[in-house]
Amino acid sequence: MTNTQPPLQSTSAASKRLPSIRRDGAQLFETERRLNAVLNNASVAIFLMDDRQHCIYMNRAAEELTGWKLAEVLARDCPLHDIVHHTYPDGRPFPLHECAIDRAFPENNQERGEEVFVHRDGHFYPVGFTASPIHDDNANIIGTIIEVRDISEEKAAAERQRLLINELNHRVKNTLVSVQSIAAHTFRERTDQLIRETFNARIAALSNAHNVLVEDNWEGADLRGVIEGALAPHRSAEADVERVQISGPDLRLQPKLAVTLAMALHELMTNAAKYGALSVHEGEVAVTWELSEFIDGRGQLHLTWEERKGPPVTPPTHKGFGSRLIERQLPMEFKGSAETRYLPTGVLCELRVPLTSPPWEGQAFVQEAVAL
Amino acid sequence: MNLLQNRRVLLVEDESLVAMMAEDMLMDLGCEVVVAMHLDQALTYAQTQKFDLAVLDVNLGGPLSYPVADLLLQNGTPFLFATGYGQKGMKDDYKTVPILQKPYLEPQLAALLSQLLAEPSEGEHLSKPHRETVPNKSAQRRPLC
Repeated sequence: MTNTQPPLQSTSAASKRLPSIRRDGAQLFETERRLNAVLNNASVAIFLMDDRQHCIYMNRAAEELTGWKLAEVLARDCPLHDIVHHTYPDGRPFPLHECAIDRAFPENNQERGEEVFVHRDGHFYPVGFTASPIHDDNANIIGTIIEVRDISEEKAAAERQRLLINELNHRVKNTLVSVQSIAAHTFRERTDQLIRETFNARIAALSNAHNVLVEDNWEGADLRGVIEGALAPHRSAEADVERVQISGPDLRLQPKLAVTLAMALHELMTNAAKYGALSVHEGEVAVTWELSEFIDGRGQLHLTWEERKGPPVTPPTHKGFGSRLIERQLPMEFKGSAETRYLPTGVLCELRVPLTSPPWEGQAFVQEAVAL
Repeated sequence: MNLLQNRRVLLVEDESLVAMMAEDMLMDLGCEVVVAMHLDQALTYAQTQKFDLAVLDVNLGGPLSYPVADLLLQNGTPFLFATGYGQKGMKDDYKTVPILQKPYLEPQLAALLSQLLAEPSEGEHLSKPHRETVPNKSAQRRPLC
């Protein structure tokens, strides 16, 4: 099977429908002109291949991309692969039969992938391609159309982002350790040991919360990971974490919520270990959550911290860092609610937080403000 | 004489821990503090209430606080930006607004706010506190740990 039809000419079947030869010719000319205008103004490189993987047409963008003119490629009379894809970036020869673009032919429609091409001047450049077979009237595959675009900039941007995120992770962790170190040196011998421990544990909680974010490139955090991260430092002797049950559906949190929630859980955990259910041998804590619907249809996280079988608890006479963070700041920051009850069975804390608040909420107000 | 005593301050800050610290600092300085943690809330306060001063974080978890700044400029409320970005990260339109680089200390906050109040051109209503006699209830609430 060979491709004898020049690809950009009308088929005989199509011309039969036309009433006169003259109109046929004019229409053909017009069609070709339009097609050429489309192809030569396209910013993506387009190659038309026959069934031997020879390039029989390439548009202007393809000429610019490869450094080769169509006439030169036609004159070479060899597979396009041997002109633009003949060498691996490490210098080894790249035979046609190993080529993913070649393998895509002829079975797969819209086969996509990334490859590294060789420019006429010898430099390598990464490309993204889409290859699709071309059929004749009898559904025989007579060639392939390949779209190719240079993805050097995308690759460079992705690499820059990777480096930046690594740097960010490194900086954040080191800064927190630096804070710890400064505090240790400043407060040594001068401050109550209990205060130093409280401080260090809070910095550690903040650091753990960021670990969870780092794992996910700062795009969000898994709720279970946040909870486990917040409880992990308490896995030592002071509180047996086996007695803390965690259950709820998988849920992703935005980074800010992950950090504040982790700090809140750390405070609850510390309180439970000091005065609450985890301060006695048989006490237990259940951290459970469910996803319900907020009034505006958004998802709402409903998280319950419930202590059982602990010593009797009474409401604190003053609001400390923990209760201020949980009962005031957290609801304010996320437009949710928090309720802590001091039941005879132990502390019961319920948090309700609407999820994934649209990043641009408040835009309506912005418009109003501008209009004022 | 403490220029900041009983001044009503709008604090716009979207991070809980930072908001807690800034609120405490302002209360230590004798201010009455209204905290907004979202742009919409901050705009509502700026539109409907009178303040002697405002402290604006710039990035409110995505939205920027510039529309609040515009309102404050319109009604002549002196304010500063408290931001980790520094001057370079600011939009040119707000180059004249003083910037308090995070992290900051209470004396720096106090000095900059006092300076804002001392500037004469900001309008007459700023020459004295809105509530001269009301003792600051919230200032008595102290975090204990």
